[in-house]
Amino acid sequence: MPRAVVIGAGASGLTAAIHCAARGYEVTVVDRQAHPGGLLARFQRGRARFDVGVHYLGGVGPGHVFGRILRHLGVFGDLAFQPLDPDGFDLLRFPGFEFAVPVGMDAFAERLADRFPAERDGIRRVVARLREAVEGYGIADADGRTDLDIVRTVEGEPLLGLLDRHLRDARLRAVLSAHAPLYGVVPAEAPVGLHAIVLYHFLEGACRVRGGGDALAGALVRRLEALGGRLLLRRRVVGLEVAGRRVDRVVLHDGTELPADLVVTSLHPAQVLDLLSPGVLRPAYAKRVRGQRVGLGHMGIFLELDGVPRSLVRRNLYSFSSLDPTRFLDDMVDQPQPFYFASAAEPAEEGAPWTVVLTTPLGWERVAAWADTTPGRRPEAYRRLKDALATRVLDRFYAENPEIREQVVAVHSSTPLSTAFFTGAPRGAMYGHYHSVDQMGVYRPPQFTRVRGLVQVGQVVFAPGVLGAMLSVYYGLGRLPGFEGLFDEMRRAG
Amino acid sequence: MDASDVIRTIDRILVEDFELDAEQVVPEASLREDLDLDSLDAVDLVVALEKAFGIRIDAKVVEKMQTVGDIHAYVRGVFESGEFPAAAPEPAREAGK
Repeated sequence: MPRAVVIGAGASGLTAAIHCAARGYEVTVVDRQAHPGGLLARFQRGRARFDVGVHYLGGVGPGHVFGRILRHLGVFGDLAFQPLDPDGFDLLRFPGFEFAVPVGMDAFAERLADRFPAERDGIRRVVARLREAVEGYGIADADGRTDLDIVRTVEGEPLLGLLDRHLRDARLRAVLSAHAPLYGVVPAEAPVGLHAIVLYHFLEGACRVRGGGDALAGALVRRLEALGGRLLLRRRVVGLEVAGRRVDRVVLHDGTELPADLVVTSLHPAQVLDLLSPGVLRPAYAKRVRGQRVGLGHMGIFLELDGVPRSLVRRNLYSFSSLDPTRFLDDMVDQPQPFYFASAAEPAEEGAPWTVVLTTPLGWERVAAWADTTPGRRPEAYRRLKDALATRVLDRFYAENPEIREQVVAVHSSTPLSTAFFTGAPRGAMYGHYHSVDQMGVYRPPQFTRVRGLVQVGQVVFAPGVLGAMLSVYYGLGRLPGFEGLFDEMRRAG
Repeated sequence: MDASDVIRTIDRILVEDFELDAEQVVPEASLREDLDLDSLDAVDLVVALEKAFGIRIDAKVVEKMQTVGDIHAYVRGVFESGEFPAAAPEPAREAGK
């Protein structure tokens, strides 16, 4: 039986592990954390559970991208979904106006045209380009085909350039770039292709999963174990041995060696370089991978409530203090009132509290001075900075949502240091890579190297978010012998 | 940058960044057979050349090149044409314009 070792038990690692197990591999997934899930995993304070990485999902209905992946993985029936308001699943709040995003690309385009009637033609052109981009990736329908020429073009085309070319009203451009902060790229540098996929999959029917990221991770782990795969937790990978030009074994910190015919890694490719002996990959590759900018950092603010946050029960809030898309990713140090995203989670068990999570940009350099400290042992100065920053965001959030202020019983917060500690991501970058036009396409760290039997998956090598992480497995693993048809199976899985 | 600078820079990249012997890096050397460079290396080569020369290169063009001399000729051609495709992404613009 061929052996596969998967490094990282997050969304991409578990997805890859399931497909390896389903195709006859003896699979071992290694993760340094005590719990599987990576950024899917929740953290717990008392009875409250908080999602760090995944706050809502795209459509899971028949024919929807995310739903097909979950069906193909065999975990769909193990999950319960809560659809968000189809008439407005995201409320986009800007100074002086609001826009509620409805389900359906057509409905979205129609609402934009009603709101900005003078720009009907421009809206039609922009939406047509977004559709074309999605079709290029070949994920929109069961008969889709990936068209690499389209993908290359839309990954090199800046979103704001497209919007500026066709639209005049600054409010309209702001609405159409509002989702860029969710994947952490400034709209002037955000690829049209990436924006299109993110927007499209939410427009298919945004929903939450009952029990949050833990439920998703749990379903993936159960599926993997049912297929005979196993998890090795609390283990750090310290080496990746190559024989000839093939992967040979994975070495763990406790000296364990795991022989492998196939290694799938969700580490940042720069970290993979550190696991290989010098000289295995060429300096040109190493320079290219190490020369890439990693993604932006975030602050998370986690609220435990003693009531139901009515305004956030079936929709998320995107709150901007500026109409200028070039300022959307400014953090609190550059702008007193930065962008924040707010999302609520219903308790999965009787008697547990509702929670609300706010996320806002925060540069790694703001907290880098404390990078050598660990949670629980961080100095007072760090805690003071964190509290001061959280208070600034909360003041605005409470002013905009006064009813929730009355319900808050506890507040916790995180910075890029927390993300770095719990995920191992360089500079605590939630999305790993900075997925800008100049770092996508062939410039993105690659899924394959000269080392045969080694596949890189995850957000960094494809696209951000849980969808990007899972799709990376199809674009990577799907090109290996033995995994033929993987992509087509997924496209046809409902 | 004149033609000999272009050639020297390309040869230096091949020797240092692709760990090839300087004696091997001659214009008639076949990238695939003599130098063992594959399509994955081609992408690294695109990135290295773009960085060294501040130009933008279509990856598909490099994949079609057969010899070291083809690389020399292509980059020289870019410089001689006088049309340097911009390597930088579009600059951010201010809203409201």
